[in-house]
Amino acid sequence: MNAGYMGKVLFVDLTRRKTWTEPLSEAWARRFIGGSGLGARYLVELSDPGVDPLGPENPLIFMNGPWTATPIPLSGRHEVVAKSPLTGIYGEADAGGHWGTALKKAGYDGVIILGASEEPVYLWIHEEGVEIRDASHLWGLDTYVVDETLRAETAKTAVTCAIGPAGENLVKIAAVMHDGRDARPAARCGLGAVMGAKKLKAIVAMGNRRPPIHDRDGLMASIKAAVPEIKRLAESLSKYGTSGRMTTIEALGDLPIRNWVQGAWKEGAERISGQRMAETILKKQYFCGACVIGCGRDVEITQGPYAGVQGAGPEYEALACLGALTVVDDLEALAYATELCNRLGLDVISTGGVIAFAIECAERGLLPAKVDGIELRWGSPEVVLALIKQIAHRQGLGALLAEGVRKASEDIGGLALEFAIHAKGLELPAHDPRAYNSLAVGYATSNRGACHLQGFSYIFERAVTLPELGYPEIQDRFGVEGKGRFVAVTQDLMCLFDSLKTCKFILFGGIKPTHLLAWFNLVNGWGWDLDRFMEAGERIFNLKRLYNVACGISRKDDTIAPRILTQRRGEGGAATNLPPFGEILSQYYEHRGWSPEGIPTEETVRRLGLEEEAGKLRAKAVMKV
Amino acid sequence: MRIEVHLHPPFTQVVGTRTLPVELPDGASLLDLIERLRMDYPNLFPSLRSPEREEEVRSFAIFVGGGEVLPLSYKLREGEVIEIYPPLSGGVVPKLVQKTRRLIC
Ligand code: SF4
Repeated sequence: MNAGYMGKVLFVDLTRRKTWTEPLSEAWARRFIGGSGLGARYLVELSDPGVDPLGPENPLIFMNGPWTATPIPLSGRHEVVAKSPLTGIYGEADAGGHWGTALKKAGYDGVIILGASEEPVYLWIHEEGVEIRDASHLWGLDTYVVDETLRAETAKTAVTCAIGPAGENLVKIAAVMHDGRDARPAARCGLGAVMGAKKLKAIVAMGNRRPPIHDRDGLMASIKAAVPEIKRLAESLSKYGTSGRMTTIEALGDLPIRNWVQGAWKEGAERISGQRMAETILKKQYFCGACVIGCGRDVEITQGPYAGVQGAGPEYEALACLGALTVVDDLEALAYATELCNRLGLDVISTGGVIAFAIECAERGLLPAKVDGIELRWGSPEVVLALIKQIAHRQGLGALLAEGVRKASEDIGGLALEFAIHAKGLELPAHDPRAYNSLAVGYATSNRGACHLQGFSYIFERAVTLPELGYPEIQDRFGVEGKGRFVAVTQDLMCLFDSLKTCKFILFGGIKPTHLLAWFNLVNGWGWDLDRFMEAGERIFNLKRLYNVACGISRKDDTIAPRILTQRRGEGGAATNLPPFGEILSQYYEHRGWSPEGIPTEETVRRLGLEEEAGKLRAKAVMKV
Repeated sequence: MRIEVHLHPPFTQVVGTRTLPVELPDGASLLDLIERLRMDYPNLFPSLRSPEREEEVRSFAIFVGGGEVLPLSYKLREGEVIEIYPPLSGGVVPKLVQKTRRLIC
């Protein structure tokens, strides 16, 4: 097997209670690299796009990249892949922390869960083998307690991946959580519910192996030269975390406020900023595996109503979605809300989205003003905290909201559909396409539904350049010309990040595609050039698109909530801009080589070497590709 | 000409005030303003090495005028308000770093 890989994938069939390993296909590794790309390839191989996402036929795939467990900075990451129960299409979620590294050090490039157990179980994966163990004593427990219990049962230095009550209750916005109290989520797309449907409470991993590296000395020298610069350029991220940008994001009209209706919230943003956190509840930084930036926040609250909060603190997305979207500016309450989501196993982005949706529905008389004793109103920490618990347990209003905003709005009907802010059923993250034109088409075409990280395009419209890919200057955020190609190129590049497995925040440390390619060749020894590298990203993106096409996705679905496309923010840093959606989407399709209906043409499929996969999907498709 | 600089945390801690009037020669650009601030307040962007590089500057601070991020070549105008926000991608302010460190310990 090639350097960078362990060469083995672990299979676990929970229906038959059997485990076995299969060699990792080198041909697949060369075409889909790892992480998200390999995960997508296994999904195509092992399942039908028409499967019930919560049925035993939907495989749950945990996949490392060739960089996981190597010294490459910020590479402690892995990808979780399955068909999403929230969106009904391709689902994936990336996680940091140390679990992926532990799995690789146990000897595996990935673990694929098939079937479903009748009783709660957990997996204990180590260098000597794998055990399927009873987890009935863990069912119902939160992820922090599960982590403590399992490390006592297995090994103190083992790392856990677990679902909370939300995943057990098949909440469609449930996350797969990692690293216990450090709480690194694979949050999006409701993959925690897929794990819950399999009655798989946790996977514990530990090991000491390392993947072979083609040119270790060369790699170490290159990393050594890069690290001081990464630290220098990303030091603010280090000191203030992702929410250190909160006030800037608000000033540029990029922060979603009051379910995406309000344009400015200056004081609120300051109160929940990373700078405020550093002065108050911040205890220390948190670093994922191999990270030299440490944007993670470790917080502690020792007095007041939220005393007892301790561990992973809120990141930007948590503060923006649980806070700005609901107009809550109480930092300590939001730290508690984040801990609740982590313990219960909920995606903070979607959770904030459904809560803001519910408040707006109540305000407009579409839901009772008081539901189960809670008066639904903006700016109330009590509402946010109570609804988080209700959603995780599917109690009261939580049963409706646990389905996500798309389904909830369809159930309520009428005007509620206006307040459901999503793309392809996934709630929007906290960056506004009205502030960055690329984001509208980026969200609309992202294979997992609305996602800022599948393209990460907006960072190149505000602070970072990509000279090797044709963008030597920071792009105009309100520009139109060439934006279609720009969105596609950034998506292809992010597919590489998600497949190699390293954190996209390394771009804030001055790392460019050239560095990534150099490290890639030093690890694998494949001697690729930039074109071939980027083509792999494009192939991975198109593979996921083909899966979605087989699920029935076409141009009609490549859109986002009308509020974002057609209603101005009205004030603040992006008061009047509306993204020129149709123009950029048309450019995008042309660049991608997709038909007017949004389907990769035969020529595109051939160019990317995806004939076999397209054929498989066509044969399995619920609709004709 | 005289312009007014509005600072946001953490820069406020370094300068000790939220607003700062700055006198500059007519026709001065944003880059000139940055150079002046670096001279007057060496601790404001201490790790900034190449102030003439747009991308690097944005790793340390975002300069906003009239609600828009300003390029380095932007020509300042008499009486204008320039806001300095924390970077969207990097940067460091040592005074607060020490404070954060103390919090960490
Ligand atoms: S920058 Fe933050 S999210 Fe990325 S690897 Fe480091 S700690 Fe994790």
